[in-house]
Amino acid sequence: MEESLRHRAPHSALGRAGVSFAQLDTFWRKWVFSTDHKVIGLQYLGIASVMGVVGAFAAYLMRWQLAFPGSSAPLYGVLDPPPYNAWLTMHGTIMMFFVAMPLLLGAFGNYLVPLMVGARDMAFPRLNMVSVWTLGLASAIFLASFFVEEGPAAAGWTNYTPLSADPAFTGVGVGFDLWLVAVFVDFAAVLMSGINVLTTALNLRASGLTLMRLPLFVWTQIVAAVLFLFSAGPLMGAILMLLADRHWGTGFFLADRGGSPLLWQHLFWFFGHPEVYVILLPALGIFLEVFPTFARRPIAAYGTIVAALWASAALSFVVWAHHMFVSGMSVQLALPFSITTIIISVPFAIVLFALIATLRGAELQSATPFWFALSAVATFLLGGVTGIFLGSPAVDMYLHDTYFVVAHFHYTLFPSVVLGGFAGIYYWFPKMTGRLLGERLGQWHCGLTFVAFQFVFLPLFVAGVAGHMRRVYDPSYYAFLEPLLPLHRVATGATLVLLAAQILFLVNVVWSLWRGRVAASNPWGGTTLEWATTSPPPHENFAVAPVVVREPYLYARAAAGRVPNPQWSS
Amino acid sequence: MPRFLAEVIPRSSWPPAASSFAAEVDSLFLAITVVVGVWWVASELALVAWTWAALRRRHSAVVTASDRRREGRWILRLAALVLVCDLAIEARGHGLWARIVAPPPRTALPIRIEARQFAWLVHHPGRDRTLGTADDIELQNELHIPVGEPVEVRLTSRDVIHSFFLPAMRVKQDVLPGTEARRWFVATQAGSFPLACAELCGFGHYRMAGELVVHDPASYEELAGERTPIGVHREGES
Repeated sequence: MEESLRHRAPHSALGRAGVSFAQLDTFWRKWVFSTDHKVIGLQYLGIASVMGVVGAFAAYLMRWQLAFPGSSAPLYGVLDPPPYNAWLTMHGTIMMFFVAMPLLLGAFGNYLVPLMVGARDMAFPRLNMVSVWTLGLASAIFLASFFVEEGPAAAGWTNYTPLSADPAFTGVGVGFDLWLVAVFVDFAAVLMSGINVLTTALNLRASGLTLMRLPLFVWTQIVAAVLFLFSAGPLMGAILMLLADRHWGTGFFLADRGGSPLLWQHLFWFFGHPEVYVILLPALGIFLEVFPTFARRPIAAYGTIVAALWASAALSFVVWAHHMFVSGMSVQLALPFSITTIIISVPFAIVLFALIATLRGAELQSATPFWFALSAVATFLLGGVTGIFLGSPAVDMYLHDTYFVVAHFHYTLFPSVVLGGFAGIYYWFPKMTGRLLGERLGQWHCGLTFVAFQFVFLPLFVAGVAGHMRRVYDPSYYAFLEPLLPLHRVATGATLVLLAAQILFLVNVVWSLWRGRVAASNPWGGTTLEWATTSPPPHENFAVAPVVVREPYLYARAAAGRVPNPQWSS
Repeated sequence: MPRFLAEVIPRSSWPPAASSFAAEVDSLFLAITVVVGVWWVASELALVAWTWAALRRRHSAVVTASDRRREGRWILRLAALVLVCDLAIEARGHGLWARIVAPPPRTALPIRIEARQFAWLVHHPGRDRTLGTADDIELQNELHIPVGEPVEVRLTSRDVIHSFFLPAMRVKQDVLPGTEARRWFVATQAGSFPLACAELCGFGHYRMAGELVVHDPASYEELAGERTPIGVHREGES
C-alpha cells in the first residue's frame, strides 16, 4: 500500500487524459497550475511575501501615527481614527492568517516535508494545488475588502462581538463580511494543506525512516497540522454564526437577542491559542534543523523534544481563557487556566534548553541561517518569559490590553515568523533555487533586523508597564500617556530601520538569483534527506528512492573538521 | 533604572499605587520579574557563551551518545526546576487574585457605571449611599469616590464591549452589554487619577477617557451635597 502510494506519479491523471508532458511543460503548467509540491511551496512563499508587504505597510502607518499623532505619513497622508482601526485590524489578521501560516506551514511545510521524508510528492498532489489556490482566493477576497465602501474590517484581528456584529458600531459593513469570508476560506485552505502534510509525513516515509528518525522539522509540521485540525473548527463555526447574526437575524453573540458576547471570545481563543503554536512550532522546527547543521553535532535530547512538542500541543487546548481573565467570565475559572498557562512554559523550556545545549561542544560554522536562528532564539526567550506575567491573573488585570501584551506577543511571533522565516529562507534558498544567498549582505540583514526589532518592542514593554492601553489612536488624548511619547518615537524610528533593512534582503535575492554562488546538493553539510538530492531537486525529487539508515544530525570526525554522517545510505 | 530610561519616562508619569491591593500587585510583578529574570539572563548567557566558544573550536571530538544522554538528563532537571518556579509564582499569585475577586464588604459604596460609545455615564449614590434614590448624582466621565472606603462599581454597557481601567488602582474589568460586571477596591490616596477604556470599542475608543477623583471624607460629603441631584438635572446627558 505504502509502496504503491509512493510511486504513483503525481499527475498520472493528466497523463491518462492524453496530454503529453512536453505540452504541459509551459510556463503556466509549471508555475501556475502545478501539482508539484515544490512549486506549490514557492507559490505559498509568493502569497506570504505579497501579503507581508501589506502587513508591514500597516505596521508602518500605525507606528507613524503613534509617534507623530495627526501628522501626514509619507506614502499615505493623515491617518484618521476609523482607518487607524482598520489598519491595525489588517496588520494583525494579515500577519497571522496570510503571512505566518502560508509561510511556515504552506511554503516550508509543502516544500520540505516530502523532501525530508524521501517522498516524490505530497500524498494528494491535486488537493495540494486546490489548497494553494484556495489560499489565493482567500487572499484576493481579503485584499478586496480594502476597496469596498466604508473600507475593511476595523474591530481588531480578534474581531470581538458585538463590535463586529453590527455595522452601526464601527461604520463598516461589507468589509467585515469580506474579513469573515476570507478567514473562513483561508482556514479551509490550511486544513487541506494540513491533511496533506500529515498523510505525507506518516505514510510516504522512505524505507528505514522510522518515526523516531524523522527530522524534527517534520515532527513540528505533524503536531502543527494536528493542532490546526482540532482547533480550526470552533472558529470556522463561530464565523458562520457571526455571519448569521449580521445578516439573518440570529443572536448567538448579541445580548439583546438572548445571546452571549463572551461566546465569541471563548470560540475565538479556543482556536486562537493553539493557533499561536501552529505558527510557533514550525518555527521551532526550523531552529531545530539549523542549529545541529551549523553546530556540527546532534540535537540534544531528540526524544524529549518530540514529547515536549506533543505536551505543548495538548496543553494549548486548555489555556485559552487566559486571554479572558478580566473579560467578565467566572473569576473562579481563572485559577485552572492560570495554572495550565504557567505550566505550558515547561515543554517550551525543554525545547529552548535543548537548542541552547546543542551549542555546547559544537564546532560552529558561521553562516547567515545560523545567525538568524540564533537571534530568533535569543529574542524568543524574552517573549517566553514575559508570558508568565500575563498568566498570573492579578498582574494580568493590570497588564491586559496594554502594550506589555503587544510587546510580549511580538517577542514570540516576530522571532518565529520573521527571524525564523528568514532562517529558513537563507537555509533552504540554495535547495530551492540552486544558488546561495550572499553571506555579507545576509549577515548585515540579520544584524540590522535583530537589533532594530529590539528597539521597536523593548520600549513598548516599558509603555505597557506604565499602563499604556493598546489600540489607542492618539495617546496624547490621555495626559498620563503623554510622557510616554518618546518611547513611541524610539519604536517608530526603529521600525523604519527594520523596514529599510529588508531592502538588503531584496537586493540579496535578486543579485543571488542572477549571480549567486551555485549551490551543490548539500551546501551546508546537512544530514537530512532534502540534501540527498540535487539543488533544486528534479520533478519527483529523487532519481532513486532514498533509503534511510540512521537518525538525523550525526557528524563524524575528520581531518578537516566534522563531516556530516547523513541519514541516507550512499 | 538606567539614566536613559529615567530621562525618557519621568518617574512622575508612572501610575501611583493608590488602591489597597495595588502595592501587592506591584510586588507580585517584581517577584515574577526576579524569578523569570534569573532564567532569562542565565539562558541568554549560556546561548552567547556557548556560541562564542563554539566559533573558536576546531578539530574537536564529536559529541557522543553518552554526552547526549547526560545533556538530556540536565534538560529534564532544569525543566523540573522551571516547573517548581512556575508553581511558586502560581501559589503566590493565587492568594492575591482570590482577595481581589472576593465578594465586597457589605458596607461597600455602590456606584453604577454605564459605558457606551464613547463615554462613561457614572451614577453615584449620593448622600444616602443608596442607588436609585432622589439624591443620586449622574455625571459623565467623572467618577467620585471617598478615600479609604470600599467602593463597588457595577458595570454595564449600552452597546459594545468596553473595558473599565483605573491604572492607579490596578483595576481593569471588561464591560459587557447584557450582564453586570462588579469589581470593588479601596482607594488609599486622595487625588485625581485617569479612567481609561482598555478594549477597542470603535473609532472613538481613544477618546473614551474619564477621571477618577478620590476625595478625603470631608470633601466627599461636601461634594455629595453640592452637586445637583439626578432628579433635577442630568449633567452631560446627550
